[in-house]
Amino acid sequence: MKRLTDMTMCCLGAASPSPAQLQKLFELQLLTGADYIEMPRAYYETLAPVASCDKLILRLASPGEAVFFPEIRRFICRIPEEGQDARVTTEIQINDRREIPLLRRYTALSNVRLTGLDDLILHDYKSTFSEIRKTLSGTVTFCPEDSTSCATALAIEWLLGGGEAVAVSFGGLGGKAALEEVMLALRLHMRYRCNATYEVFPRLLSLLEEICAERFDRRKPIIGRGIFDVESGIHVDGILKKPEMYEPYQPSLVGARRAIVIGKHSGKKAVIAKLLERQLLPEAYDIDKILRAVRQKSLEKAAGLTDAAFFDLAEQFRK
Amino acid sequence: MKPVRHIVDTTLRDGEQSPGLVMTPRQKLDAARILDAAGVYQIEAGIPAVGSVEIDTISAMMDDRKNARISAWNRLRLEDLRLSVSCRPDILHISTPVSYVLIYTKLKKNKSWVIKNLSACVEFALERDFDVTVGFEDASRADITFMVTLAQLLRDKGVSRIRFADTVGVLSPSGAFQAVKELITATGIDVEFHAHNDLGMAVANTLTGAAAGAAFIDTTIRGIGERAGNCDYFKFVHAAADVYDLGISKFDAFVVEEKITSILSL
Repeated sequence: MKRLTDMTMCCLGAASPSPAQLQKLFELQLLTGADYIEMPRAYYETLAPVASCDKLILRLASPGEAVFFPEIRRFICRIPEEGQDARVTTEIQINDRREIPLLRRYTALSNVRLTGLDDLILHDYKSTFSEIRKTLSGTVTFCPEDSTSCATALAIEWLLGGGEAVAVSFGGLGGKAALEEVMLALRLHMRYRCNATYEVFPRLLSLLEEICAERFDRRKPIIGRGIFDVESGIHVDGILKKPEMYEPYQPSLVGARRAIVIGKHSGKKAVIAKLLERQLLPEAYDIDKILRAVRQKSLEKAAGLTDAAFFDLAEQFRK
Repeated sequence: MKPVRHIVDTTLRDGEQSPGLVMTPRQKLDAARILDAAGVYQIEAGIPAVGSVEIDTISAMMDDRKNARISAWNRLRLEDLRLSVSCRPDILHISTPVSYVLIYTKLKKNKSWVIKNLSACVEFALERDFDVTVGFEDASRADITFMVTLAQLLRDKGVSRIRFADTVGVLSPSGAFQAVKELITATGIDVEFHAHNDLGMAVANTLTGAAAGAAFIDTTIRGIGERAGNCDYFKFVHAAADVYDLGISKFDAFVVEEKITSILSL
């Protein structure tokens, strides 16, 4: 059994979501399939009462605060206290593998979350994972950080290597592993939750962009708005024949749609497919001339053609 | 001393395949000049089969470059190679599908056809004294036995290097390590690692590919490329420079990224 904690709400930085935005965010997070949703105490007090308390992890400043929330089953706190509530997981920062021996001070803890270890992929990470599991007897949640762009990879390797739990954030907010990348990688590598769909991702993306007042990259894996655009002849041809040739999963799985973009690298088949999108008969057009004009126009503009520009151009070469 | 890994920058080929992105000849030449000056080992300049503008651009790049090796990308077609020859690049790169889904469904051919046609293309290039590298397209979903057979054949013909392409970006770091290790162990041929970022693991997969012995590393500026893109040049250098000699410092790689981002309006 693998466990994913979605700590997005704890990674919003300076953003100040309204109560309505927080409510909506929580509702959408519940739809992703994450096992636990982590939130700061202040957000919980805004949202309370919450129907799905069994899925909550509340972030506390000190373990002693847990007594105020008898309805909650899990907490996270950075400061361990002797004899602390068994519901509290202690979060420990380990910056690199040389600090692993420090974990011996925490062997008595039944629940630990390890954060950091950003550059572990450059070293013998499998041995380090093994050492961590030997040192800590309780449940260990791994929360790799992303300063070397390897957080998702480390989370996946931890789970593939027998680790039980990871903590991640949507879009990798706050420099964590990206929830959506971990979920799709688990599906492809471990056939994990193969019946789940992730159609909620675009709504989460839009809401978080609104809350953070910042746009995610169009090429962001899984959730980027441009990742299912196809232009080059070789790939359009392949995708039209059989999508799995050039896509690791169907766009619909993550609530997205494929789009053919016409530009310098488009081939005849892309032009024909684009015409068919508007129920236009390809035989009525001189495809070779369209293609030459597309390439010339793309170079002149140093950009691909918009749909409107393409169809205007195509009309010039109607037979 | 840190082990050496050579950067093969494919911004001007795979990067340009980002939908909607077009690079003018001037932009390509300016970007290539910066990559060359920065000590990039190889610049994958483009696809001559795209047309005369591309051919002229690659030819001009050959005249302009100081140190970097310039390569031209080709499909498994003699007519593509004929166009590439006219650019006089240092390296002719020939891409061949190796996974069953690409061979049987896309090409509607079989493994024998691939071996026969690849042999013909490689011989065509070698006879003209070009250095030849071969790209294994969709290698991460291919049969390792077939890839080893193909790599041994290519090695014996005189191909200097094969490119292991995770074309749909589905590898895990441990999968990347294992695949590269197996290819090198079985064939002894030089391996170039080409990652895509569909699952957000392009940098990590490239790092483990390098750890397994891949001596050549494909990157693009800002990780541009189809879908979620390729292994990001600066992110890779930032992560790997403490462990490998990449011929460039983290700071200089950052400057290169900034300059090319500006030139290409990324």
